[in-house]
Amino acid sequence: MTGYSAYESGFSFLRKTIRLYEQPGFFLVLAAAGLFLIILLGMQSGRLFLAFPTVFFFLTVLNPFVFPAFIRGGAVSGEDYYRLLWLIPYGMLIAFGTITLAYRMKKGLPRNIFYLAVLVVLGITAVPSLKTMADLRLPSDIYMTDEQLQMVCNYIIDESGIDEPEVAFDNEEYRLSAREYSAALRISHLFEDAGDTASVQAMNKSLRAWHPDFIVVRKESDAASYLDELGMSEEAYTREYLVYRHT
Amino acid sequence: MSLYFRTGLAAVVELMVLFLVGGLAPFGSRSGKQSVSETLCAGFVIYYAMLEVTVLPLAWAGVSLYVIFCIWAGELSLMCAISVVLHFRGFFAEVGAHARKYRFAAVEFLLVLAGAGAVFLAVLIPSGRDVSGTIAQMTTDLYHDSAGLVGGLYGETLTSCPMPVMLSRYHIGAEFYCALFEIPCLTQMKLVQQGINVLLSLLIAHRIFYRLTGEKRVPSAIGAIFYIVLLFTSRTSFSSAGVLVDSAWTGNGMLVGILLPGLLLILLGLYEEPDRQQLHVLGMCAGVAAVSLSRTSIYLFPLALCAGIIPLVISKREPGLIMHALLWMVLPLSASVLCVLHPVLVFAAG
Repeated sequence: MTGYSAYESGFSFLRKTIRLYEQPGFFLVLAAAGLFLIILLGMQSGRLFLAFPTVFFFLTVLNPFVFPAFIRGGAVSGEDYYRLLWLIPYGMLIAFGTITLAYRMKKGLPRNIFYLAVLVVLGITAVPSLKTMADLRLPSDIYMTDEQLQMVCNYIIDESGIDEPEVAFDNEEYRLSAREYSAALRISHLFEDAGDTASVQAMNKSLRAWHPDFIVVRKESDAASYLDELGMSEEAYTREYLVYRHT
Repeated sequence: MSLYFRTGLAAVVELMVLFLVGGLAPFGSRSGKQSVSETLCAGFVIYYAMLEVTVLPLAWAGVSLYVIFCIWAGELSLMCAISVVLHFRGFFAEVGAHARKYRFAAVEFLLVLAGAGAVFLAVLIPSGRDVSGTIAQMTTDLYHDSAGLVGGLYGETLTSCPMPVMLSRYHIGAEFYCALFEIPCLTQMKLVQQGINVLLSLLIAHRIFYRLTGEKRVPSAIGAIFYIVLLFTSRTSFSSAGVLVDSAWTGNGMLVGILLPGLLLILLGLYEEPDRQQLHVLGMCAGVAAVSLSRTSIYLFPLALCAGIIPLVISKREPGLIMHALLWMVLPLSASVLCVLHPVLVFAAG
């Protein structure tokens, strides 16, 4: 508990999380206003099912004095904590708060003018969002992967003659994304087993253990020189990568 | 048929299936009327609960995705057939005597079952295998999990899922329509699924406002309009609105945008009629469906349920509802325990 304080671990963490992950401050203020309107003027069902849960969450999992223990207990990780903010029904609080306030107004023109004013405010806030949406474009590459990776994958799939070739990539990012490009590839654990600082002996041992059909390494990597020392020669190459076939 | 036509057809069929499945455990209301949005909400909850109940044990047993597709097609046919018969039960009751009624019902059931099953299976057989591969391509979760748990079997998830806790099971439900209508995976997920989910979210929000305002039409409609405008204007990358609008096709999007509001709708129904059995069934299904959609649900769902059930128990003075709520949470809580125990078991095993 040394050095622990509710302020350092709780308030600042919550403030940072809300600032990073949640709605712009303007909407948080509107949601708070909606909450107070529902508590003060709303019907019982609104108080029970919108206001109570919100207050409940701020007293429990979003309470700066409580949640540090919640995180340390392992119930939710610090990285995933922002997801607890999804429990707060911001949109419903604002919308229902507006309806609640409108129903305290005189029926007819005043109420309609109020609805119109709210829609205008929402419309103004929608402008930046609409501008962003207008700028959205489909990517030219639907796989959203590296061009070098696509070239290597295409070569292996076209030339291997194997239905589901097993491939060892020394680039960890490729190991994680190659199957997003083609599910026909199986990814070998060769380099995870051999490690980044592998020696020729370690590489030889791993090759005997894993038997990948293809090995893809960066041109400047140590692995390329180890494979050369083991008597393997590259079958193909791109600007940055060498492709070896393991027999 | 053009891609646009097939995509539109997929959306219509998916909504029809949700509507029919929702007819199995209707929300109901005091007035006896069943709204379209509540039927669709019930359909969503039952659909994903059944998917979870089907896929999880099969995936655990290492059954291939293709076989899972075919079994799921059979189940959907069965559910649709039962729903059609239930919808027309009143019609048959008026047609004639009891024996005749049941004979008609049985014939109708068999016809619908055979028709739906034949359509589903006939279309799945040629294209199911391709879609199995596409799923493995799309669901990197499957890949990551297999990497972590099965060691050297990278890529084995192409046709089978040997890991005990397989994520993204809900993809199988969505990809089913890719196979049926031969539409690309991205089109299905990010157009059909996204559109249907945002629509469902809006319909559920409207129904919540309708119930909260004491069944007033105009304010509930205005509330729903405000709500949808707010979703679009207030969203940021990781906010609840952002997750719903921009990633409505993902499990988290469905959890935040449909399932948790759906849970609120179920609780509002119980607030009106605490004894209504269908609502307890739906609540339990919601717990099961939540686990199918996202791992985040294992703490979000119990928290949301606690926050909703406490005021219900206090206002109705019915402590028995707590027992029901615990039943609803059986699967999310079991999944929580499994997630905590799983690394320990893996460590102990190896």
